[in-house]
This record gives sequence, C-alpha cells and structure tokens, in this order.
Amino acid sequence: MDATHENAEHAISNTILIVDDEDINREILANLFEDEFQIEEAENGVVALQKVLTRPQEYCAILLDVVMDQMDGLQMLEHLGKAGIIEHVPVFLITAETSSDVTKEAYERGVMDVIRKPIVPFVVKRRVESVIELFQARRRLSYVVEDQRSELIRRAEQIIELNRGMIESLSTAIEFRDGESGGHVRRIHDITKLMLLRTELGDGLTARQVDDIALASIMHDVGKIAIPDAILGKPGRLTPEEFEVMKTHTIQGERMLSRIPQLRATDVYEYACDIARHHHERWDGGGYPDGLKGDEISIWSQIVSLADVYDALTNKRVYKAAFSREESLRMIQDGECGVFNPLVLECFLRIEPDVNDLYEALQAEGAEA
Amino acid sequence: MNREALEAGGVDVQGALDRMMGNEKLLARLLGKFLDDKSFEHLEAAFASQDAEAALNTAHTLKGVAGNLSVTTVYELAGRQCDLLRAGSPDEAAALMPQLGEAYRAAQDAIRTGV
Repeated sequence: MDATHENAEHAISNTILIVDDEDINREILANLFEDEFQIEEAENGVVALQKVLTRPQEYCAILLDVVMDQMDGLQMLEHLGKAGIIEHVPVFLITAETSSDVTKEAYERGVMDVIRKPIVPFVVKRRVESVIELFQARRRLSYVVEDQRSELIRRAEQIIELNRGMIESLSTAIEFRDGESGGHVRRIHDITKLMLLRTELGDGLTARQVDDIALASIMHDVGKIAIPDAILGKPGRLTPEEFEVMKTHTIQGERMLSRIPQLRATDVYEYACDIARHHHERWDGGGYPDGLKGDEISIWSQIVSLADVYDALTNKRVYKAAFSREESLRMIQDGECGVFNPLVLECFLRIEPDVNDLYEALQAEGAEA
Repeated sequence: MNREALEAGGVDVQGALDRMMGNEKLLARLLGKFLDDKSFEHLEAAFASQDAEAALNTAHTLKGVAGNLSVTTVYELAGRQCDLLRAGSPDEAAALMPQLGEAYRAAQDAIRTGV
C-alpha cells in the first residue's frame, strides 16, 4: 500500500472483524489473515455490532458466523444494513449451513459472499482479499476525487477573489487620483446590487447576472485615468473646454476595458463597457457621450448613473461640499442633475432608506478603521 | 504430534493442517481446545430435554467446529443430525447420539494421546 497518499483523515482501514461464538473457528480464520491485516474478534453479534457502530471506519471486512447465542449473523446483518455500514464494509457469512434458505436470506440482506465451513483456506483468502482490495481501491479513489474537487473549488474561489480584488484596487486607485476616499466604487456597487435585487428593475436577471453587473459598475469611471490631473483635481467649476475633456472619460473607459483580453472572455465585459460608456447618458437625451434617449440606455447604465449622482451629491467632492440627504433627493427629483427614467427614480426612492442605512454603516466602519 | 493416533481417532490431520496453513502448533493448540469444547454436552442436554431447536443449533455448532478441525467422524454425524432435525425428524436425529458419542470420545482420546 502506498503510505504517502494517506493522511489521518483518509486512512484506509485494515482491520478484519471475525465474529463467531467458537474461539476455535475464530482462531483458524485469524491465522489466515493475521500476516496482512489487523484482526479483531467478537464472540457474538451484540459485541460485534457495538464495535462496528462505534468505529465503522476501522474495519475493512467482517467475517460473520450465522448461528450464535446472542444475536445471530442474520440479525446482525440487518442492523448493519440499517446503519448504512454494509455499503462501506463488506460482510462475509461463514457458515456450516448447507440450506439455501439462509444463503438466500443473507444475500437479500446485503451480504457480500457466503463461505462454507469447514473453510478451504485459499478460497476464503482469495474471495475475502479481492473484495477488500476492491473496496479499498474504491475508497481511495473517492478520497482522491474529493480532494481534487475541493482543491478545484478552492482555486476557483481564489481566482474570483483575486479578480474582484484587482478590479476594486484598480478602480479605487483611479478614485484616489480624483481626490476620493476610496468608498465611492464600493457604494456604487452596493446601490446597483440593491436596486437589481430589491426592485422590479432586476426582473429576469439571474443572481449571477446581478453579480456581474454589480462588478461591472465598479469600473464605471476607469476612463478617468486618461484625464489630466489639472482637470480631474480642479477644485472649482470646469471651463467648457475642460468639461469636454472630462466627458471623454466615458469613451476612454470603454476603450481601456476593451483592451483587457482576460476581461473580454468574461460575462462582465459587455456590462462593464456599456456602463463605462453610458453612465452619463440621460433619459431625455441630454447626457453624453452619445446622447442616447429613453430605453436606448440599458437599465444597468441608468441605475449606475443615478447611483453615481446620488453618491456625488451626498458626499464631499474636490469641487463641492456634501449636500444633505434631503437636499440631494430634492435636487435629483427636481431634475437639477438631468432627467432620469421615472421608474428608475421611483425604484431608487423606494430603496433609498436602505441605501442611507448602508452609508451610515460604512461610515461607522470607516470611523472605526 | 502422533498422526497415526489422531487419524485412528477420526482426525484428518493433513486436512486440518492445510486449513491452518501448515501451522502445526496452532493445530495442536486448537485440538486441545476441542477437548474443553462444550458443544457435545449441550447437544446431549438438548436431546434430553427434547428441545429440537436447541438441538439443531448445537449440532450445527459442533458440525462447524469439528469440520474446521477435520474431526471427520464427528463432523459427518453432526451434519446428518442437522439435516434430520431440519427435515423435522428429531427422533431419528436423537437415535444417532450413541454413535456420535462414540466418535466424539474416540476423537477426544486420540487427541489426548496424539497431541
């Protein structure tokens, strides 16, 4: 046996349990197997069952006599079957019985093989050892498969985590240039997800699509990396020329994302490009860069643009102070930040108290840190 | 180990040794245990109290032990008793008792001298 493939958890059992009320019979059987196996003996079914039920992992086979005073072999078989042990530990009935009734009943109760007494050594050895080998190989294989499976899952989770982490880091790095604290992308992600999960805007999307869209929302402003510091960090109002440059962060963002082949291969890609390009479009066509109108703008881009505005208003920015929550909502509803889809606006107002709770929680978290 | 004495007492020594993978010491020890085995006494008691079920169980046990030790005379007679008892003929089974007793004692004597 190859010991290197085994650990405590996956140890392959190597003990044969011999159950017979005559110690002469037990010793003869033990003598056959004691070179290659550990041997345990029990003089009746009660003792044997107690052993097996306490440590089922330890036994690789049970050799069972039929006629015993306390709990005979057939009764013990029934108990082993009920405890689900018979599928994992092969049971051999060793009997002087010649009637086919007992044999038939034993097979019906899940016995692996019936061996006649007086035993013929090489027959017993051969039959018992090949079944043990089969069971051990099967068990070893199941351990290997199980190990590989959990390893694959672990790695997949690691990769997903890494991806998310890198996307967040990249987006946060860009935000820092912008003079932000780093919480903006996180909040946009959370609002987007809340909107899709809690309102009818997410109807028809799978949980996975919602996750993908939320992840894509994090990348809405990556194009800002191409905007000069002087414009990005300007404390006051931008000149019309500066604003034209600023507006290009949408197109630049989409272009950047399209150059990441690894991203292209994922389902996040389409959402990320769409959101990067269109999160400044407005319902009435008054936005940029394409002046899309109404349903021409995807629902996720509409959600991110509203979330972006709400977050910008309620937080302090390099070019403005933070507005109160009430003032921010009033400005949005009065169209001071452009026109939004009435349905999206209505959905947002419905979940806005939750968003506010979330903000307070994040703030408390930030203060603690 | 005196093979001739054992064989005269109904013990197939070679058969028994084969079953013990040639382990003579084990055979000697287990034959010694056969002297202390109570199956035959239990069988007598079962017939005395006319308990056919107990008789079948004990005859079955005796058959198993005698068979494993290749005490062939006892094994065959106990086996015949099992068949008769299972066939519902306890009287015919009981009638084999003197013959079985003789074989059993002969085997015991042979073991005492031969081991």
